[in-house]
Amino acid sequence: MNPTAKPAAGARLGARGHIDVDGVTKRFVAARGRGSQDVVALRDTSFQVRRGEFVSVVGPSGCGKTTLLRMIAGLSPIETGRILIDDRPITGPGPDRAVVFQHPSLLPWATVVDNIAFGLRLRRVPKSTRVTRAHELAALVGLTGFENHLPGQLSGGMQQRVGLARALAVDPQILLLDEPFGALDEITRRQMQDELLRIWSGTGVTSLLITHSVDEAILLSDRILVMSGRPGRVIEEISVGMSRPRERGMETTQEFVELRHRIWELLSAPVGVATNADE
Amino acid sequence: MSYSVGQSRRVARGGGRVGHVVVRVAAPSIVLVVVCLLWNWYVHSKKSFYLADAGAIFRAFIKELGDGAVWHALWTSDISLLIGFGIAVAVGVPIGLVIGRVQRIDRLVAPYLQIALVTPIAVLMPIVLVALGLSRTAQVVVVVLFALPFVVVPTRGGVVTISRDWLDMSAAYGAREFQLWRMVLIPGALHAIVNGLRLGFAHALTGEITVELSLIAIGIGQLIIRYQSHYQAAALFAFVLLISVQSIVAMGLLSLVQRKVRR
Amino acid sequence: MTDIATQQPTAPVTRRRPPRRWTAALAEFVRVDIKATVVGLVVGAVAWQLLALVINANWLPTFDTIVRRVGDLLGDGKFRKELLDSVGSMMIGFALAVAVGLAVGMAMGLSRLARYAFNIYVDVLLFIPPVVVTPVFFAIFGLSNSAVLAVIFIFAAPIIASTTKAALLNVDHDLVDAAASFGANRVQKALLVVFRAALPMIFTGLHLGIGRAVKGMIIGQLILAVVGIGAYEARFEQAFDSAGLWSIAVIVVIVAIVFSWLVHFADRLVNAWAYVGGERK
Repeated sequence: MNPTAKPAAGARLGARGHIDVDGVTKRFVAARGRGSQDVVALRDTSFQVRRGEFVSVVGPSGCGKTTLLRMIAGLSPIETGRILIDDRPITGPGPDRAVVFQHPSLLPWATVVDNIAFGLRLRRVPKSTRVTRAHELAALVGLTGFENHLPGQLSGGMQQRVGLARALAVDPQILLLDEPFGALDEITRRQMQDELLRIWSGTGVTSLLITHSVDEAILLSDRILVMSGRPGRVIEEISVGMSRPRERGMETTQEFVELRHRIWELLSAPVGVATNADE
Repeated sequence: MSYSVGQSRRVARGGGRVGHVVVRVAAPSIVLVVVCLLWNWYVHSKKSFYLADAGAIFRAFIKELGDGAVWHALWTSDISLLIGFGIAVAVGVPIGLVIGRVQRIDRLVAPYLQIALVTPIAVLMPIVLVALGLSRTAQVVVVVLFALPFVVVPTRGGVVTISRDWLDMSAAYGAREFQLWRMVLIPGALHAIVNGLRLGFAHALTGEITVELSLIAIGIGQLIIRYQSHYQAAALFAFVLLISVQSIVAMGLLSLVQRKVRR
Repeated sequence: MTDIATQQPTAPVTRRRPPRRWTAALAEFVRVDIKATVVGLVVGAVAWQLLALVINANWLPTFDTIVRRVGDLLGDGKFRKELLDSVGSMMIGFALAVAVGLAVGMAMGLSRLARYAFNIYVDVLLFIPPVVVTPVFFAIFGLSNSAVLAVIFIFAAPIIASTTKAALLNVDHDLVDAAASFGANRVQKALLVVFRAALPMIFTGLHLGIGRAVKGMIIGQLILAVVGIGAYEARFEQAFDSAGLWSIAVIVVIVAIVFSWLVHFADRLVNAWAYVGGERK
């Protein structure tokens, strides 16, 4: 589709990124009638994610974060601008990327193991291999003993563990997390953040996390992209210089508090005129 | 964020809207034309006195629109339909409300309601006939029997599914039973009641036509028998079409009311 | 709408294993579905007996008269044959309706073009009382069993098509997205996700369809009055034999309930996952 996928494109930005988002704009055509206007969800957004990096995107509701992630996942078409992965433009979903959704979207008729193995099944991995792998991942995310339960028998947090395991099962190069803990209660959410920290440090997979939570972004990320309200664009890139492995308690360090303060300043700054759009 | 999912799908499908409308109209039209052609081919290959081709049926339909005897037959049957449906509503809605509200009664009658929904009421028609003879009363009773379960069950469902929170809230503000009915239960169940009216009417129609065609022919049934015995195939088919149109209009109106209520 | 049991206000959410093996499914089914009905029927039978004794009218024989008459009828080989023939034609008509209804409904659920082409006709068939077309079927097929089959078909097929369409369109799009993100192609999405997720609602359509098929069978035979149960009804009615008529009614109601249960049971078996934690979602 895009013949300019040459190394030069990356070179322009300095270091070559694993994910390159370049001048992406997304507008939604308004529904017929009711005199509504088209909505610009994303405006001229550019950033890159390096291999093995954990990057978070924070921003107010409606800033196009999820749209951005869906485009990188290959679920939504890219109309203006381009997104490259390993210097190649996206044409659709690919085996190199896996998504963890806000609503875990598990198949309700399939057991935990079958859900975890779902991506492998689509890739025609032999049954014995994929079942073994699914059991390993169930253990990794702390679901030992629940392998044959159905999603309807699990709590929200456990369902999200299955969602995470399903994504990791296909051994992705890039993990896309769309507010994965957004629907969980605060206590479960903290547990899941700890789990994600632990699992991620073991794999080092390139990760992009969409989140509403500033603390979650700081806790988990190497870098944070702060987005403005609609039309969304990246207003600031913040490097989190805190060392890994990270652990609980770091929220009280001065560095953490200052970072949090700075991000909140950015998020609460009035941006343009379009902020009070339909929300 | 679900709205953005929906919107992006709309964009992804995209396409010209004009072409869209053309397909929307053309596709069902083609189906209709094909069905008519197949029908005509079948009729002409059969050469039966009992059949008529699409053109003849259409002409007979136009003619019947101006035929007093046709409207008279239709109206004769509609009287039983309307009286029966009226009784079913007048009796069924209160019964449904009470069953929905009083759990002890609900538990007792629940199996019967379930049976009433799957029972072919038609099987009771001859018994009604034995009890009441070949009379208009018998017709009305049949219509009531057909419609009643489908009025009662949705009404009951409407009351039962009213959110516990509303009842708790009303109790917290000290609502009395009759205030509860007026302000919470009936408004909350309204959409279900209207749905019951629609379903009940559909079954009342079925009951009326069934009884006319099988046992007590005083309106449409009589006319259909006349058409059959005179081999007036086109007129018969056109009359069936006319009854269908009447049903569609009535059901369409009830569906419109239902949509209004839902909002 | 039809299933009273699904309308209970608050089903207690319990964490228990779903009934996966068919014996477990059967036990669960007997516990929840059959028990309540049997208790209700016993109470009803007693009430009937008392009422009949009080009213003492020809049209309402006592319950024990009817029970004996049902026994007589079922013992009569000729009646048994007519009953089995009727049930057989009902099953054939229903099978035809399922085949066509599923095919049309799935086409409409998966393809927009099919939706445009058939939607209006399916809606029209749901709006008109199906019995109205019986004169047309008698004109086409004559006074024969084929006409009854056609009536059964037209009673059951539209609701199956319409429900199947709605079932496919109602599937949670997040599930389809999740499958797409793992690289599922169109066929995989349709078979592994959409159809599977739509199955519980498709079974709702089959449940409605079987009820209508029994109604179509009875109505078709009553109007035709020369085959099967309908012929018996016509004869009893002419003889003012109300005990005979009630007996047939009882037998037909039992047949209707048994078939309704069969579909419900198949649903519990196929869609055990949808019954996790009590009633179906």
